[in-house]
Amino acid sequence: MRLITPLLLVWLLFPLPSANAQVGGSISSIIGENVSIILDPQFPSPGEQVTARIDDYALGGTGATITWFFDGLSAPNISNARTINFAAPEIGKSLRVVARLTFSNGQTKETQSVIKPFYLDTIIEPQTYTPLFYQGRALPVTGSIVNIKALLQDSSGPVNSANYNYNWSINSKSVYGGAVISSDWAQISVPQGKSSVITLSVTDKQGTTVARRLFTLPAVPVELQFYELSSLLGLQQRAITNSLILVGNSSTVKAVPYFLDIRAIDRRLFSEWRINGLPVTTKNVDPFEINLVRGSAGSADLKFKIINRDQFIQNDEAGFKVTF
Amino acid sequence: MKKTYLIIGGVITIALLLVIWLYLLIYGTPKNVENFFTDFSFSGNSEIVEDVPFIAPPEESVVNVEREQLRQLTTRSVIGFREIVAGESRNLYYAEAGTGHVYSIDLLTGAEERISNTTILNADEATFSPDGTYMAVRGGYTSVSPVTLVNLSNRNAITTETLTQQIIDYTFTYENNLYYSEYRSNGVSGVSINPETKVQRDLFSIPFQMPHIVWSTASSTPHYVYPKASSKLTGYLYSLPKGVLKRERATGLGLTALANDTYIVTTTLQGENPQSAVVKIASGDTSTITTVVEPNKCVFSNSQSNILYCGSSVKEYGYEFPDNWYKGLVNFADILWRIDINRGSATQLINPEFILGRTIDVTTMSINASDTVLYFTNKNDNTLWMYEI
Repeated sequence: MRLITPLLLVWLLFPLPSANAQVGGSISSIIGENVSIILDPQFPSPGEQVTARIDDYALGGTGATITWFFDGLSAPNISNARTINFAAPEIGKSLRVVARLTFSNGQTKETQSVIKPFYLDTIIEPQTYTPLFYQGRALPVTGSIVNIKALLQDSSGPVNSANYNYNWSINSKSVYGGAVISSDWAQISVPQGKSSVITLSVTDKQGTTVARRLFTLPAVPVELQFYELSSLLGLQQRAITNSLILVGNSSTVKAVPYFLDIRAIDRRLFSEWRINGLPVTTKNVDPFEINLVRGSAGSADLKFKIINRDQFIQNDEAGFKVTF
Repeated sequence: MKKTYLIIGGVITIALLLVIWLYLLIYGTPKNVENFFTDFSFSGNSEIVEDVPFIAPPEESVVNVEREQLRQLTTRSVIGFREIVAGESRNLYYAEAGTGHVYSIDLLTGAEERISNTTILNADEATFSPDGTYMAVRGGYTSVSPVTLVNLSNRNAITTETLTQQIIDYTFTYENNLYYSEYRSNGVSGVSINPETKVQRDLFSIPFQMPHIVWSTASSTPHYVYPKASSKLTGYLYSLPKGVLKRERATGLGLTALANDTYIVTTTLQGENPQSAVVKIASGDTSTITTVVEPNKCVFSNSQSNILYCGSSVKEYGYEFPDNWYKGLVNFADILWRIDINRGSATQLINPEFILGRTIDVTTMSINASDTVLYFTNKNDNTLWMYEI
């Protein structure tokens, strides 16, 4: 009797027996005999919308009645649906999703998944140039370096990365040759192409995957913009888009190479100003600046070209019309 | 004729000529110079003009603070400002771009005076303590330029002190302490420094290098942080209660955020345009609002947590917002709005383009402590404006 009573309590607390083996720690996919729950996304973030689909193809369960349970309670307003949508639980909580198939002969089959979401944020920090007044984040260009910080968080905040293995891959190639403990930071050279796919899997010390993220790393071209420069006020914050009307006798214009690899600034950089197609040498110390002095009335086309000699793909040429 | 008569006649003639010569010599001296020399004065009437030394016009001028609800306060470029209330007086302090000179506008009389002519060369960013005692200012147009602390308490003896810390971002808080962020080996840290005692206190630590910090505006609200916004990169919002990084729900491309003690307003790119959403902190309930809320263009009311004042345009923002706005490639003709988050309504306060015939691209939006005046700068020319609510 002493043994029966606790067993009975356990049975009452867990009325839906998990008949199958558990895979994973934070998220468990219980594979039944030819029946399972497919989650999309497989490792959702807290509160994220999740789609659960019953996979009973091998079982031939078509025609069976499906009942869904969340933490042991029958899901309301869902009757016999093969696919359901719901929100993943909050951080620090878990959700047990059970699908029960009832066949016409009265037999039942159950499968379950346990969702325990973590936040896994991947913060992309490209090491490319932006001017001081630019409030936004720099963007990656092909051949530049990008730092990516992985922030795995549970209910108490960021976890101690020393307790987890991080496996980074870019375009299906492992960055560090496999999972590396405490490697919550990756430094990547941006591959050619408009974007790359980065995958990050985090496993605990038991080898259980706790979170996985797949995201794209965009690659943009170097982008030249022009601004008037005042010796007192610095760069004006309105870019010269198409034309500049020279109001005073002179004006200094600066070309700003947005997203140029910061390593190129002090290295092998080719730059050139052209006025009406002819190269000009400037007296300015900064090769990105040109001082325009009014001559007779008229207009001129101004162009600036920049090439990173170490990464020829990092280049741009742009210009504007000066009316004076 | 006899020779004798001729000699006598000649002697008499010579004697007469001598007498005339003597008379003229003794009595013929002119008494008035003007009878003999040309008058070179232009008017013909000469006046004695005293040598009056040049006196420069006083710095004080009068700024129009009493007319329309929407007023331009400066023609100078402004890099920082704050309304300072001391007893009955209400003054608006502002710092001039390029020089760092500090001016004060009396909001009751409109009188403007320069209260600091200490030049901070190439000054590009300034903030004032709420009590008006200090200004923190940076010049030099580099991120490594030091921040200078200007003590304005004694106008006759303005003092400055250069802070040695390598400061990234800084602001004065409600408690008159200077909050700043600086790089550390593991990311960025937030630090509080008392400008009087120079006592420092670590506030929080952020494990990445490019944060945008939403500094707390009251003791009841935490700081918030998110990676600098970009329409092409995902952002995540974190709060920092008691200095511990806590992930908030908000995430998305181009994420920016603004918060008070009741609500968090976020803006993310949804498809081709940015979309703003409001999260009620207590319940986590989320709703969308039609006005695009850009943190530089909006401010919460101090007394009503559900009221937000914004400069916002009816023009489409596009899929490259905020990047293109930060670059200065696009600018907006903003309308001032009063947004009631509870009701989900937005009321137009004023359309500057319609009233003035010129556009205002609102930035650095702020509100005074009594919720009566909005202050902001026009990104087009960095002039300072006010709107009386």
